[in-house]
Amino acid sequence: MDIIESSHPQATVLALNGRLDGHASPIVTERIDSVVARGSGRLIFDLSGLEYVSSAGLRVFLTAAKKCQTGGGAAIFAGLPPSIHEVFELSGFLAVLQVQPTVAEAIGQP
Amino acid sequence: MDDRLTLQLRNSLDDIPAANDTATAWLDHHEVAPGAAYLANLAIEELATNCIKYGYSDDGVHLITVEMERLDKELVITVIDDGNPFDPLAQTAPDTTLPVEDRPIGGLGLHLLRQMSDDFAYARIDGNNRVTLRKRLT
Repeated sequence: MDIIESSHPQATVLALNGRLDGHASPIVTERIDSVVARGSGRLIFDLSGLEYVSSAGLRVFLTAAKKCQTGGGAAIFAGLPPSIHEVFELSGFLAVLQVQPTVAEAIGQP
Repeated sequence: MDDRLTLQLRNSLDDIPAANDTATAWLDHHEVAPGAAYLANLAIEELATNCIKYGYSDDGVHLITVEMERLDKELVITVIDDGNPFDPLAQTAPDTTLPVEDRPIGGLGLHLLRQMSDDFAYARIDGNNRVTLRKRLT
């Protein structure tokens, strides 16, 4: 799993590239926690390079959304490839998480 | 490479990534469709993780066996372990309609495997749990 962080005026973007499995989940969680601790408002996940997510990875996303919500911010998931979109759909995540087609749209969202 | 792959991992979470890597190389070589390849990787990770975390009453070393067979029109994935009897079909599906704040963390792995496969079967044979998933290659 390769994580690339970029900062924007009102948002932090975390691009997750590769496989988000049980092995990678603790590493990603640690990274999310450090971003949330800085209180940077909106946290956008760029998933366009994500090849695989298991239930362990989905738990990371759900926990991140709860942490952001608790801190008064929001987590937005953008750029889902078809296979990841299907997993989000089957998990019911499309209904409970904020999902945008692209990172640009997630950044531009009021 | 043969049309059939058998691989084994120990009951250690650290063994799972290598098993997924071996499976992915075999799936790529056999040009298995992305949806079926995804399911195969998910089956290995979810079933092995469940078994390793909850399946054994002792601290000994156990082997989990994964078999994959590429048929003309479908991929067959079988995961066999000698853990305590566990029927994944007897587990209740998580409520996927709850809002974020009410969502319990967990229960999703088996739900995904059931939803993504075309057939999902469980059998307890000779002291082993045997889960067989089938996915059409279309």
